[in-house]
Amino acid sequence: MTKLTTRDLTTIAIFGAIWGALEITLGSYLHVIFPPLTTPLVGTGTIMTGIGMIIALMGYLFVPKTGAVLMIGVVTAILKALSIGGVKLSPMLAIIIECLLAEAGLVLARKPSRWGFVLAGALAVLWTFFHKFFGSYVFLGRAITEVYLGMLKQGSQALGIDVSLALVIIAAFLLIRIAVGAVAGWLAWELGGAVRGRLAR
Amino acid sequence: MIEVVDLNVSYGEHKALEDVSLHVEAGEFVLLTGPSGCGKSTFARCLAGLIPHAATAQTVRMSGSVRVDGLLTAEHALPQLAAHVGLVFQNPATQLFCLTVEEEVAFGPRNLGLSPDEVAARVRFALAATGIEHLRRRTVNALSTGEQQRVAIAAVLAMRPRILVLDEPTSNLDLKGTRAVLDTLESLCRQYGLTVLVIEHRLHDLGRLADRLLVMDGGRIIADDTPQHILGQKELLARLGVRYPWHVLQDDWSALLPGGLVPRPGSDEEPPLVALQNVEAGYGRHAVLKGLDLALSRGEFVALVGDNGAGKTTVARVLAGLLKPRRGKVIWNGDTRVGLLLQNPLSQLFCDSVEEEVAFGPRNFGHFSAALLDEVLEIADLQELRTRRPYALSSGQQQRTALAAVLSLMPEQLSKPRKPVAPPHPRQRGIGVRRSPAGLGSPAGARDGLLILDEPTMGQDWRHLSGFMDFLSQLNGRGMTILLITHDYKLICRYARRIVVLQDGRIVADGTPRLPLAVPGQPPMETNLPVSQSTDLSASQSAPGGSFTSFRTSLAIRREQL
Amino acid sequence: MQMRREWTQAERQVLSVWGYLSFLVGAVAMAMLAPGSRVFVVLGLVVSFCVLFCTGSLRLLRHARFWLLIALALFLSPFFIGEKDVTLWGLRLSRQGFWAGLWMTGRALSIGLAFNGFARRVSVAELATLLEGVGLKGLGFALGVAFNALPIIQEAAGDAYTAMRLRGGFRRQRFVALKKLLVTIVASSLRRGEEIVDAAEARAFDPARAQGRLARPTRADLLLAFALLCCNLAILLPPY
Repeated sequence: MTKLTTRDLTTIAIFGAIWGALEITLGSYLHVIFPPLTTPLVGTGTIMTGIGMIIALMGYLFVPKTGAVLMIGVVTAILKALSIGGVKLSPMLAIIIECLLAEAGLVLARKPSRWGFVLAGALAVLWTFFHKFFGSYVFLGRAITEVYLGMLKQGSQALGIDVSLALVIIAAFLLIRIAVGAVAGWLAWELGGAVRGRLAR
Repeated sequence: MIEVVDLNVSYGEHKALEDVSLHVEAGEFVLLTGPSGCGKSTFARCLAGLIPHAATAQTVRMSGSVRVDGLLTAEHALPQLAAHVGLVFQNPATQLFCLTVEEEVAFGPRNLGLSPDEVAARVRFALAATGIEHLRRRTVNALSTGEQQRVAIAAVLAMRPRILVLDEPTSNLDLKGTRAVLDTLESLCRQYGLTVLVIEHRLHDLGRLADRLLVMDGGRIIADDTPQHILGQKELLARLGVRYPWHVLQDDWSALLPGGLVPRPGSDEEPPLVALQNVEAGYGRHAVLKGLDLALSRGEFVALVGDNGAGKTTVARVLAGLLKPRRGKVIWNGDTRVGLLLQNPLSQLFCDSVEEEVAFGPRNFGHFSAALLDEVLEIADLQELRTRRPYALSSGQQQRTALAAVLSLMPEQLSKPRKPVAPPHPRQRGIGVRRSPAGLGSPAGARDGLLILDEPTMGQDWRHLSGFMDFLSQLNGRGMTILLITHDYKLICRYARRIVVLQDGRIVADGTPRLPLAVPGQPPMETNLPVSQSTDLSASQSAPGGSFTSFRTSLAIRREQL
Repeated sequence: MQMRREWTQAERQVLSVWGYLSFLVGAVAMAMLAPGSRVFVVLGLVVSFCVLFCTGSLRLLRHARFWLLIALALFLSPFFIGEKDVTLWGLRLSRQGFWAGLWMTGRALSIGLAFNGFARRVSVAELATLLEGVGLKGLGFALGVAFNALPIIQEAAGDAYTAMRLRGGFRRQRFVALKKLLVTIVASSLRRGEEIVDAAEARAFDPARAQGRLARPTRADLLLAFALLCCNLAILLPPY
């Protein structure tokens, strides 16, 4: 990871705290509005990740160094654990993996740019679809994939639709997430520029 | 111990310090004061070596020499200097980097590369010296601001500096917090023989502790003598806008008011503007206000005081309609616009120029007009700053911008004529509830206005503070009811005509300060004079709309009295 | 008196952060590698460890979401894994699926308790120091700053939202108002950053030097690590 100065670390901390504050306050409201079972379409996870990516990518604009977004995510994840009085592994892991994917997008883009942010945001929010399955795979093992595939097959039969249609539905869910992430990246670029303008003396 | 010779510091074209020279002996307690922007904080940063070494000082130019405890700051790195001179900043929250008190105090010694045993020994020393051993295991962000500031002092002390520099350490604290910090400073100086330099506006708190008082203006030290001698030069202090020390600090709000509070006179002829009846309100399960009864009359200037957590902000939120009471009633008599100004101006500025900021609210409510914008900017003395970025302004200007943005939503109040005020009853000393002669008052159909200000005075020097308060008095003279939440007791006694003391969500005292005011060494004098009784009305009367600057000029004589 | 009490507590703490880290890694590896019914041996070892060294970790069993995951494995597996060879209450179920569900349950419990035990016994400062060790230098400092800045940022965000509401920001263009709100919250927070940098440098902070120091591994830590390694190897051995 690139060397970070005191100012870089302070900026990272502030963005981590902002994201943490949003996770703590908005997260509980969104869980009421979006019950857990609505997650596949657009649930709490997608929206919170989108918001989080706006903050984290804005932070990257002020600390354009490899690892900055990951550091912001780790700070947020630990802050969230501290403030809710206990470690909830799944959301912490989600934040960290999303930030790693965002870092991958930024590395591909090489320098801060609007399209780099769009790519980073899209990759990060895309993970929200896979996270639940990833978590189940880690906790329950390979056998759970058989359960999911069995559910897909029997569900298709029960509804009288082709399995390939189910794949189309899944693709639609993925596209929604990519769109949310892309918009988050776009907004991060816009808002980051606005913050810079506001701070200019 | 401190030797400064021909120190000059510039930020770009702006000269912050000019030919500053100073010698401080070991063990001295020095107080440094001056108006905002005179270079005090820059001087403190030079003493600590932040200028020229810190990351934030890269664009700063410095010449001359600063020697602390035998070390030239320009020739030694910050880690070396930190073991000789410690700097405590104004805001505790921005100088705390760890989760617990113990880790926080150990932070500095660890940065010096000391062994774990030495770090532990220094932590023990620092906690004992500041009297906060009982806080050792506590989480830092759960402490009160006063406790946090003492932790910050302990954290600096753990590096065992021989010089301690504190930049306005009490400006963000309430009375209890201020008292605790001052007691700590006194013991550090007397028991441990530290050389202490404190930058402060509140001279009455520290004047008795200091051996020496320095006054700065325009980047230069213009006075250097004992506190007794300098504080006798009232003209100098008034010219610089430095607050004259007024009273000995006490902890209890009710006891602070000379002679105690006079209970309010019986019920007024007209119904109150708003009445809170047996109100219970709070956040989550916690009730902050418990059976509160409070009535505000039209045109009153009320100060709401109390320790942190007493419920002052909750009262403001209930009155502003942001928080619904769980029990009790809020009864409004007539149509009233309520404006709420919060403590931190930066949290209330949303636009990229002052005029956009002031126009923002009216645009949203659909009653924007260029004439209203001009009027509000004129009244708030922001005409020359209208195209400036709010973040580029000073904190006082930002505060005025935020206030103007609130006032732009109360246009009826701004266009009201001044209410003539009947002279006080011969037996009534000072001001009670003002009664308007029959037939006068608000034009029919015009809305009443209630302006609530939640701690708008934090961190401001006396010149800006008194200007701001004079402006509020002007608004009050136009019939605006003002509810001011503040910790500043001198301000309250000078401007407010009624004081309500809140404790644990209940009112424990409510009345008018008794006059005359006793100032040590000075003849008793009248204060809280009504606006119309100022000795020079011509400036304000010639311009019916009035303006911030002209009003301030007309009250110059009144300010001199204190 | 207080010093002696602290020393006694330290003495009682048999394992350091290294012990709990090796427990986490060892337990998760065993749970993932254990074939079939051996996963219940792993579960037994994990539960025993938690009872002895981190009883608080058992609170995981109170969380409804965790049991939802267990129910998913236990009750759905008989329907979707393997051939359906049993009929129960009119439902066709698979014996293979039932056992697969049981193994999954054992694995989930083992991994969940291991993570929870680690999280309960290792402080945030130690966690940050561990992460600094793997390349996230300065994390401890950033975490401390963020933790102390959090209440101020929450308050500033609340004030900004209040001010925006009072000035009718959400009446017309909500999206523009939200944008202004977020910019204000971020900008006002970043403004404080300069003060924080100054204060940190005045206390000789240098990001290049690691702040925290972890305790050295104790004898118990090393024994535990060795024992876990042996258990992992034993798990992989074919059955007799």
